[in-house]
This record gives sequence, C-alpha cells and structure tokens, in this order.
Amino acid sequence: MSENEKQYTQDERQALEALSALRPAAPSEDAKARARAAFLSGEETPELPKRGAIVAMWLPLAAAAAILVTLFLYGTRPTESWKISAVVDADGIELGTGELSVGAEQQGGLIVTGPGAEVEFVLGESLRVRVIENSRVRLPDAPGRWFERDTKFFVEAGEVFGTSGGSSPDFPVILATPEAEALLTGTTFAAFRTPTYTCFCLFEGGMDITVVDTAFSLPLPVGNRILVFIDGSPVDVGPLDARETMKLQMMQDAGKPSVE
Amino acid sequence: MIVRLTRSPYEMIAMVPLSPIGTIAPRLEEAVLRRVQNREPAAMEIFFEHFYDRVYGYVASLLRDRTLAEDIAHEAFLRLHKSLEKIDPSRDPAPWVFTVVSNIVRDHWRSKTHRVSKDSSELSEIEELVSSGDGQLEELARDESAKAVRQALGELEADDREVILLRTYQEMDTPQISEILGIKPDAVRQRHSRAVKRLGEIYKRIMDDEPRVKA
Repeated sequence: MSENEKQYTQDERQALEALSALRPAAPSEDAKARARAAFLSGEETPELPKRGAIVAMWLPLAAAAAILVTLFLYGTRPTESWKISAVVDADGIELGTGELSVGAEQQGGLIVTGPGAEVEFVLGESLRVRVIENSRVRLPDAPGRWFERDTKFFVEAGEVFGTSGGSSPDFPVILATPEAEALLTGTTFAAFRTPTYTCFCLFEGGMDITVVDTAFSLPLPVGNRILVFIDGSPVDVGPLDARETMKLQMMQDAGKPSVE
Repeated sequence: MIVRLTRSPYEMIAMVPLSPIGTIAPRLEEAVLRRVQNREPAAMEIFFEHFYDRVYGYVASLLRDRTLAEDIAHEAFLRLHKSLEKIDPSRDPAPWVFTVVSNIVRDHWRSKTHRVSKDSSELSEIEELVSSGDGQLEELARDESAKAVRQALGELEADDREVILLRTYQEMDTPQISEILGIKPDAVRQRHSRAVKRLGEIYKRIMDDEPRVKA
C-alpha cells in the first residue's frame, strides 16, 4: 500500500484503512457541466443561477411588478364619477336631475346640446360644470385616485362654464379648444368657442393660457378674458363683459349654476 | 484498457467506472493523450471525465468546502485547457494535472478569502461532507471509524492533509508527489510520515473519546 507501511503503528494503520474506505465527495452535475464546457471551449462560462436563486431573484421583481400594477390599476380608478345634476329642456324648462332631455344628448363622452337645452354635471363636491345650448363638449373621465388625474374638457363648439366652489380643485383641470388650452388654477371659469375665436374667462383664481402650436402663453389676470383667434390673429385680452361677469358671479355666489 | 476513438466519448466513459479511493482508474492511453494535445473534442471529453471527479474529490477533501472545490476544479480545467500542448503523451498526466490544481489551491491559501474562511467551523464543513454524500458515504458516515478519520483529517495541518490525500486518495508515489508539490522526494517522505503519525494520534484520541457503539 505504501512505502512506509511497515513502519506504521496500529493506530496509524487503522486510520489509513478507515481513510481508504472513504469515498470523496461527488461534484454537482451543474458544476461539472460548467467545468466541462469551460475545458472544451477554453472560455469562462457564466455560472448558471440555481433554480432557487432564480426564484429568489425573480420573486421580489414579480411581487414589485404585481404591486405596481395593482397600485396603477387602483390608482387610475376614479374616486368619483360624473353625475347629471340639472337639465334644461329645449323649451327652457328646468327638469332637475335625471336623464338628458330632448335637445341634449350624450354620445360617449361627448355632450351635445341643442337650442335652448343645457345640462349640468357635478363631480363629487369639487367641481360643477354646465354646458349651455348649442354646444359640443367632450366630458373627460373623472380623475384617477393617484394617477391620470388630468381632467381635460374639450370644447368643440358652444360654451362650458363652471366652478369648484370656494377652493381650487385638487386635480388639474384643463379647458381645451383646437386653438388653445387653459390650465385652471382658479375656481370659477368659462370657456367658449365661436366660428372665429376661442374665449377663456376667469372670474376668480388663476388660469394659464397656452396657444396651440405656438410658444405663446400667459397667465390670465382675474376678471379678464382672452380671445384666441382661429385665423391666427394676435390674441386679445380684455375685461369680462357684463353678461359673462354676471353669469359667473351668480355661479360663484350660489355655488351652483343658475339658469339664465 | 484500450480506448478506441471510433466510439462516442460517452460510451468510452461508461467503460471506465468512477474510482473509489484506492482504485484509481488506469492512466489514459498515449494515443488519447496525443489527441488531447491536438485538442480533439472527443479526446478532451475523455480526459475531462477521467480527471474531473478525482480533482474535485481531492480539493473538496483538502479544503473541506464543496463550493470552493467546484470553483477551484473549474479554474483548474480552464488552466489545463490553455496548456494542453504541455502534455507529454508518453507519461501519466496525473502529476501535471495535480500540479495545476495544487498551484490554484496554494493561491487560495495565500488569499485573503482563505484566511477568512479558515476561521469558520471546520467541523461543520466536515459534517457537510459526511451528510451530503451518496448512499455508501451515508452508510460509512454511520460508522464511527469513518467519522473519526474524517475528523482527524480535518484537524491535520493543510500541508499534512495534502500529502496524505495525494498518497492515499490519488495513489501517487513519492516522485509524483514531489513533482506536484515542488519539494524533494525526501521531504515528501518526511512530510508523509509526519502526517500519518499525526493522523493516527488524532484518530486514536477521537476513538478513545467516543462512546463505543455496541454491536
């Protein structure tokens, strides 16, 4: 067995015999496969993560993704929904809450009012908006809980005016026409569009105006209106006229729209 | 054993049973080694299968750490790949292979990593070796003499363990160990003698301390 076997004591011989009876540890198949590939190619092979490591690596990511998706879905869900709070029919008779009457209809998010008809919407306690006769206004989705909170009214024709009561809404409200947009930071406002211009009116609070496709923007002073012309003529800023002032004053005072 | 390269390397591997301690497989044929030298994949497969388990088992027993043994065996075969032309087909390549392995082990011993890991419990590493083997190993683990010799091996100085393993596990003779460790044959004999003496002493102490299992 060994060159020195004759010199061994009994303990040494027993120890060596016990040692000889052992078998060395066996390598793992993964490690052997990697070593084989490295030996055959001469290139270092990246260590393959073990299955447990893969799970450990992906589990937090999957959990985080699930949480983010949940938060996003939950956060984009509207906290409230629009409700019809008042309807005026084509004869000018106020019908109160209920279905849209003849003369005003809802085509998806588009509110179309005929001659004499008006419809008013409320969103919780924060926003009240009225669409007057002969208007086409796209009503936005209610703001999401945490995400997608922008609320943009698109006025194709006619007029929309509204208020958020005594305080600014806690989500961005944008009034838009093809010519311009107004980011509302005030509480009582109006926007209307004629065949020649867009008009934004600010009775209280603040309103930042941006003209589409230009670098022009300005904050509209309280008590003023701005005309943005469809033909690209220079904008015109001036005080609210008596009729618009009275209408918005009534909305501001009453906290709810009044029927003219 | 004659190895014909007309057969698939895996068939030929199957003809060579993996060796328990004390029954190292016969050395590779010169013709195979020439093909290894020429980097023929089939021959390289044979070479790998011939040596990998031996290398891994040696390093695992020497360092008492399976993961480290895998890393060192991996590194060893990478280095072997880079210097296959150094093979002398007329000689048993085992001393050359184990010289490469020993050099990596020595690099590890000199490294900071080893100094840290040496402080960890060797006993737990030994237990890992005992508890994670195949059926035969498990059976032996129940035997008190097997436990005792494992513990004794673990308590040896690394140099002593190295020479014992090369002689007993790898059946290397003195000139081969001399070549692998880079020391004179007389030094190998002295070290081996000293290592066996210490192994026997520790083994006896453990056996005397252990309560005997009645048959």
